[in-house]
Amino acid sequence: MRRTRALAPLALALAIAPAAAAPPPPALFPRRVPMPTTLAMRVEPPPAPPAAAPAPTPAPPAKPRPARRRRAVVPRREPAPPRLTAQLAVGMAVDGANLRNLTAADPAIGITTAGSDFEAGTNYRPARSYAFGEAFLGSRGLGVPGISAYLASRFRLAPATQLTPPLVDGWDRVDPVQVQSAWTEADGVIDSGPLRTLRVRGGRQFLYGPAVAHVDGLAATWSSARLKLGAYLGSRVPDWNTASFGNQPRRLVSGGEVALTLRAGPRPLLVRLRALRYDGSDHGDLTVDWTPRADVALTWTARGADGALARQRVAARIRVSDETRLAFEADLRRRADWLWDYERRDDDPSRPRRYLDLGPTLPRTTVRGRAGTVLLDNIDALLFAGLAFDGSRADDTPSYASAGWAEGGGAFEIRMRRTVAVTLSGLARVYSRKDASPAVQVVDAENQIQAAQWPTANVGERNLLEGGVQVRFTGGARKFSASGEIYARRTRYARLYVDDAVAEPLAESLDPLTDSVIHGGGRFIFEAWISPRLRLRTEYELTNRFAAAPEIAGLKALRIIAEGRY
Amino acid sequence: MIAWRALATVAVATAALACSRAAPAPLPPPTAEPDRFPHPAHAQLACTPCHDSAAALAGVAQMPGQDDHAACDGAGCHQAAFMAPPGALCRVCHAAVDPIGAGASPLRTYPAVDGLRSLPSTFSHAAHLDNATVEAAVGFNVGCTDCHEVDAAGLPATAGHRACVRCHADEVGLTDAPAMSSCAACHRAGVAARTPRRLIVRDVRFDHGVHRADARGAAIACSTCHQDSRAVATDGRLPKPPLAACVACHDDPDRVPLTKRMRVCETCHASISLTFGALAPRSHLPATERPIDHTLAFRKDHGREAADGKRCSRCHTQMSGAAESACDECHQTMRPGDHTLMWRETEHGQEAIADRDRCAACHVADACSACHQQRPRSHGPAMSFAGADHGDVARQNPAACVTCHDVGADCLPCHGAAP
Repeated sequence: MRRTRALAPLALALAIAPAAAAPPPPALFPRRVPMPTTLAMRVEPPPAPPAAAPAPTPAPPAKPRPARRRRAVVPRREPAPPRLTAQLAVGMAVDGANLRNLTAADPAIGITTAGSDFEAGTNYRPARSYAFGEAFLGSRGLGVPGISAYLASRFRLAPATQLTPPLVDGWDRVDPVQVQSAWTEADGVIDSGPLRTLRVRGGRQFLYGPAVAHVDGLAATWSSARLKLGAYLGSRVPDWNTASFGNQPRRLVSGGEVALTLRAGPRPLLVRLRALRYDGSDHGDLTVDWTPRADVALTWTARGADGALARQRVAARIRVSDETRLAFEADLRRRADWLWDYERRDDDPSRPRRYLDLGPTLPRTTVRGRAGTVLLDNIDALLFAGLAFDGSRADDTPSYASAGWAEGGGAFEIRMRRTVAVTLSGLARVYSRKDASPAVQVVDAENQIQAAQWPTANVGERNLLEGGVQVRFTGGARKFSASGEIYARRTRYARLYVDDAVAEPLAESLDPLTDSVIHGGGRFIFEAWISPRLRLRTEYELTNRFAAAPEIAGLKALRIIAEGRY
Repeated sequence: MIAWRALATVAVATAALACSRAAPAPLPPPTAEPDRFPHPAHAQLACTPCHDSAAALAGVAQMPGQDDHAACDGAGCHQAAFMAPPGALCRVCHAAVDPIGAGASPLRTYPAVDGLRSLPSTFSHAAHLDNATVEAAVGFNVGCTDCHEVDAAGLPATAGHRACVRCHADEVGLTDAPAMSSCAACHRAGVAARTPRRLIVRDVRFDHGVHRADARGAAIACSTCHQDSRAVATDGRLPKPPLAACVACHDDPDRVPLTKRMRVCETCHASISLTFGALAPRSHLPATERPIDHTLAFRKDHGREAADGKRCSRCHTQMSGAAESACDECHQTMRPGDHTLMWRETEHGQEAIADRDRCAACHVADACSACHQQRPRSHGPAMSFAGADHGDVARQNPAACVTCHDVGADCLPCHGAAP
C-alpha cells in the first residue's frame, strides 16, 4: 500500500510532464553525422567553463600531528547468546555369551584337565544386565554474561558378582560414577582494557598441550591479535585407576602455552610452544602451522621429553571443496617417546606395567595419506593408505609391537535412494614381520611341555583383511533411522608351530587352532525421536565365536537408551 | 630413506598446490558473431538509430527493424542485402524468412540463452533492494514483483526498461542514479557478460505460479528460494536457489501435500521414476540431515573445523559450546563407528599397535589398563587354562601372551627347557 501511494504521484507527474513542459521533440536520429562517440541518446551539454579559481589563501601552518599510537586490534569474541542446556541419557544393557555346552572330549575344546572351561552358574555368567547413562548440563552467559559452566558425567550400575561376566569391562573395577568435566569459565567478563580477552576456567577439565591432560585445576588464557598466552595447574584425574595396577594418581600437572601469530590475516602463520610437567618429567612441543591458502594447512610439530626429541610430525591438509579433502601425514617416533601417554614412559624398565605391555618404545616412521570426495553427487568415497617402517636396531630388544606394516583401504557410502544408503568398507594390512623360518619353527609334541623358543619380534599378525557392509535408512536427522551392519576380519598369524606327525603348519593339522582366524559380527541400530527433544535408541550386537574361547558360541549385547535434551 | 622420499614428495606436491593460484578464467570479450548482431561492429553508431528512443523512454525496448527494417536499410548501410535473396543478414534476427513475404518470419531469441551478451547493464540487485537508499532517492522502496511482474500464469517476467523508467525517468531527476536517456550509464560497452542461464532445464519442471503460497495458504516470499540474490551487486548471473530451500518446504508436511514431498521424484522431475536404483543426490537429502561437508573424510579430519566448538554445539548438544578446548566433549562421548562388540573383544589391539595416537585421541592409558586387568576370556577357569588349554592360544599367537606375561617370569619356569 505504501508503495502504491508513492507511485501514484510519480505516475501522475510522468503523465503531465510532457504536456506541461511541451519541449520540442528532440532530434535523436543523428544520421551518422556527426558521429557520436558515446552511447547516449542525447548529446550531453558541453561542460561549463571552469569558474575562476579563488585566490589561494595561505595555508595555515601545519600542526605537528601527535604520534599515533599503534594498537593491535584485539579480536573480540562474540558474546555468546545465553543458553542453558541439559541432556540426560539413561539406558539398560544386557550382555550375553552363550556357551556351546562342549564337553572336555570335544575336539573343539581340546584335552582339558578340568572339564569344560566355562560352566554357567559356577564360574561363568552367561548374561548380565546393568544400567548406564550420561548426563550433561551446561550454561552459557546465563545470569552473568561471560560466565559459563559445564558438567559431563557418566555412570554405570551393575550387580556385583564373582562370576566371569559375559563381557569384560573396565567399569567392573572402578567408581560407577565418572565425572569427566565440571568446570566454570569466565570469558570476556571484563569489558575493556588489556584483560578483556582473559579466559579463566576452573574445575575438572581436559587441557590440551603436548598431551591431553585430565585435571582438576585452573587454566587461564589471554590473547591478543598476535599473541596468546596460557597456563594451567592441577592434579591429574585418575579416570580408570585401580590401586592394584600401581598407577600414580593425584600428581600435579602444570603447563603453559605461548602462541605467536607471525602473519595474521587470511593466511596466518602460527608458531606455538607448549609445555607440560608431570611426575618430574618435562614434555614440550613446538608447532609451526601455516595456512598458505584458505583451504590448505601445513603443520609441523616436534615433541620432546626431558630435553630429548621424542616425535616429529608433518601434516598437510587440503580441502579442495566442502566435500573433497586430502590429508598427508608423516610421523617420526623416537626412543624418547612415551609408551602410551605423558604419564606412561619407558624410562624405568622395572616399572610395573603388567597386563598391557607392548614392548619398549622403538623408532618408527609412519606415512599416511587419505583422500575423500563425493562422486556423482551421491557416492561418498574415502581412500587411505599408510606405511610404517620399523626403525629399531639389531641390538634393540625385539618387540612384536614395533613391526612395520603397509595398509590400504577405503569406504564408500552410496545413497541408493534419498533415505537409504549402503556403506562398503574394507581394510587390508600386511606386516613386515618375517615368518618364523623353518629353523626356528617348533615341532609340536602333543601332551608335552616344550621349551618356549619364541622369536618375539616375529610372532603376531602376518596380515589382516577386513570388510563390512552397512545398510542405513533414515527419515531425516532427529526423526527415525535404522541401520544394519555386518563385518568380518580375517587375521593370519605367523606360523610358528608345526605338527610333529605331518610336519605341516597347524592350519592343516588336526589342531583346532589355526593360524588364520575370522572374527565377525553384526550390529543393528534403531533410533527414533518421539519428540524434538526425546530420543529412543536400541542397539543390538552379536558376534561369531572366538577362536581363543571355542566354548562360547558368540557374544550378544542389547542396549536400550532414552535420551532427553533440553 | 623411503620415508624421507615420500615425505619430500608430499611436501613438494603440497607446496606446488599451495603456490598455484586457481584464479577463475576471465570472461572472453564478446565475439563477432557472424550470424548474430555484432554490437562492437556498430559501436560508432548511437543507440537510437536502431532502438527507438521514444519507446525506450516509455519503458519499452523495441527490437530494431520495426519500421520496415529502416534501422538497417534506411541509411543504406545494408541496402544490398535487402535487394538480395534472404541471407546471412536476415538470419541475424530471423529464424526463417519467407522470401515472398507471404508467410511468417519468426524471430530468433535474443540475446542467446546461456551465451555472452554485449552491452550488459550495471544493474545491482543489492542496490535496488537496499530499502533505505531507495527510499531516500525516490520516496519508496521496491520489492521483487515491482520489477519482475507476474503474468496471468504466475510467471515472473524478466525486468525490462518499463520497470526502470518508473524511477529512472529523466523527469524524476535522480541525482546519484542514471537517467533513462543515458544509455551508457547502464549499458557498458566493451564488456561481456553471461546471459542469465535457465535453471529449469531438461526434465526439471517448476511452476512459479503454484509456488506463490504453500498448502496452508501462507505466501512464499521470493527470497525463500532466491536467498542470495539480494546481495548480488552486479547484473551477472545470480546464484541459483539452493536445493536446501526446496527441501526445507518439501519435507514439511504442513506446507507441502504428501504427493509433492521431496521423496516423490516426479514432483520436480518428469522422467525419473520411483525405482530403487534412482540415486538421490546429497543435495536432495532432508534438510535436517548432517551437513553436506560431513563426509567420510570429514569424520577423519575435522580438527580445524572443530577448533571453534560453537558450531559443533548447534547439533551436538552434549557440548558446552565453548569457543575452544572442547574436543573432549565429543571424543569422550561419541563412539567411533568401528568400535563394535568384536572390536572391544579382539580387534582393538591390532589397531593400538599400529597407531597408538588414534587411541590417545579419546582414551588415557588408564582406560586400557582397566580392562586389561580383567582375566581374559580365553583363560577360562584357572585350573583348566593353566594346565593345558593355554597351549592352544599360545601356539596360535604367542604375542597375545606377552602382552600381559613376562616371558622370563611367567613362561620360562615351565617352558625354559625341554623336559
